[in-house]
Amino acid sequence: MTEIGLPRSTTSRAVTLIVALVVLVIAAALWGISVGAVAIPVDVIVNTLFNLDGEQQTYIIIKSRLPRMVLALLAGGALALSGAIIQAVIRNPLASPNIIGINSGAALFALGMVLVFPAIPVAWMPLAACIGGLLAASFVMLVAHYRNLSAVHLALIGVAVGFVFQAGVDYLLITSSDSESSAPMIWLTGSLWGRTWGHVAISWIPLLALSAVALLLSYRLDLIALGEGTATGLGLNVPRQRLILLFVATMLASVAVAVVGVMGFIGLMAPHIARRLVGGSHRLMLPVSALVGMLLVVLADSIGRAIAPPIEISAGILAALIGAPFFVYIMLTTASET
Amino acid sequence: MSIKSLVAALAGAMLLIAPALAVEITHDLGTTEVPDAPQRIVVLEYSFVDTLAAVGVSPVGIADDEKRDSIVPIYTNIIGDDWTSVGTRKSPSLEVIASLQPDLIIADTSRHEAIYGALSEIAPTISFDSLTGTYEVAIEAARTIAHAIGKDAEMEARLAEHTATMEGFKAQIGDVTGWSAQFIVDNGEGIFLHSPVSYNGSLLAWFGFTSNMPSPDGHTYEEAIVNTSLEQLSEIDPQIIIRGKYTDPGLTDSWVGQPLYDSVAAVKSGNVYDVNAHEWSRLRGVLASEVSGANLVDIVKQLKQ
Repeated sequence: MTEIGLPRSTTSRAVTLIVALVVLVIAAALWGISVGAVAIPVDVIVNTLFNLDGEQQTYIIIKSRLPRMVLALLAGGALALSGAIIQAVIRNPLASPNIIGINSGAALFALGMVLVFPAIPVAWMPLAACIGGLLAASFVMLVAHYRNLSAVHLALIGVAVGFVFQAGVDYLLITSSDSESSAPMIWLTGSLWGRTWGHVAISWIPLLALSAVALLLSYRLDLIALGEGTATGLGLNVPRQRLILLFVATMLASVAVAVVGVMGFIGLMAPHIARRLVGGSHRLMLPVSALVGMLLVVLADSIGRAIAPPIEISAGILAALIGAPFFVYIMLTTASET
Repeated sequence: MSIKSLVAALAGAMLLIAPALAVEITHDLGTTEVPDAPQRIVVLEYSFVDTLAAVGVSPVGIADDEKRDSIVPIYTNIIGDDWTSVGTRKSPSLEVIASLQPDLIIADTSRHEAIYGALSEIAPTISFDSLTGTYEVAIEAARTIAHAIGKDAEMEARLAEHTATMEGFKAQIGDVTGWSAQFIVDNGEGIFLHSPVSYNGSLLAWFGFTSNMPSPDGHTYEEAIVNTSLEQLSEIDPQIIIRGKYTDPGLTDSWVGQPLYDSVAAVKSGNVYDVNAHEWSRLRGVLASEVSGANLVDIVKQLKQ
């Protein structure tokens, strides 16, 4: 620990910040459980959560809002971690899961499955999305790895591949008159509507495991951040580490996108907000990113349910709507570090 | 009337003799055990409102797109207006549905397949193809739903009345096999042709009209409701256009004077007839088809050769 230790004041400030963020995330999640199309008093929520005597609302609390909250936490954290890793590896502040084609790859496969192969049950959509995201990102990563391309070239190839998949998405959207069947459209904006414990069951193990791996690998990001030459000089096999890190980031984002849909904002902005809060050291920045991502998605989902019940506004839309002004505020009020 | 009430009384007596018998209902998304004579029913498409109205049952919740007057008087005259809106048909609020504590949910297969699991956790859910189904499919679904809610006798009586009404319209309409008719929706930005495999297409075919549209093999939304350009409309060249406009003026009004539009057979001969877009394009079922049938009788009276 001591070899890359941080100044004590930075660490204690960061610990305070992390504790504050954890409290905020928990508060937001509890608030999220209490809002929605049906108003439920706090005592009923407590009765239901702890199975006490008195009135309970089992379905709404336990089967509707709770799995959504769990998914929002898992996916928000995963998307933010993925974004932070990709920004560090590609060494580009504009990078996000989107830049290596994950979002458009996932979107094309999900839409394609529903519109081109309507016979396949919609329940398979998350799997199709995951495969699409992995396929697009794997192509980018493998090409960059085997041709030994620099981070900038990797990003450019990622953008190009993303455009190809996005063209496919646009083609499907324009040629389809199916604005009526909603599943793919709602999914494209990133939403937790209709998510159940079934979605949690298929995604919590990979998301938690990958998040743990991401946090364990954070010190390697600090080395890569020094620049390819320096990192190699310090004994790091940069191309190999880059491939491993990008693979972890891709898996995180693909699984998250598969269960909650496309939420482009989280992966791009949460790491920036985190960097502004605790600086560039990834050992702190990664967990803070994850917490910021969780907070954003939980708030976005809760506000989306509270704002105009019984109609829900997609969390992806609200995440951008509330996150962007906050991001600008943070950019303007903190000292420039990057 | 007395026979009908006798039948109803008989059915009621049978229910009293054999209470709490669950029925197994086979529907588009599986087989579901529906508890005996469900009382609190939530419906997620208008055609299921139609079905319940046909047997005099009031749903507790309707996905009415947050517009209460989308449930038209032919329904509210029977079911009243005590229902709770559960949001849009596209994405109904699961929480509101759950808060109504339903004992049966009736869903649309193409709209709600993705949330079928979540709906089933709330209450037994049966699902039918309303959005992309034909007239025949709608009537069959009405029969199955009536069976699910223990109203077989009422539905058979209503369907007998329905058949008589529709046959009466058919007789007034006469032989129209020489006429190609096309129902189109004009929403101001685009036009949508309801193909032969759609509900309205199959209804027109039932009355004997022909269609110039190719009939697709499959049965997806895009094949039932086809977003079309003026060129394609002129190629299909129907002799009668039945038009439902959601905006006034519609897109088709802006085409008047364009040679391509003016040369469409129906436009040239003055056989473009406006009907209520909401009633035709969104409502399907026993009562809705009788409204459409009455419209068609009027249209045929005005036909110009």
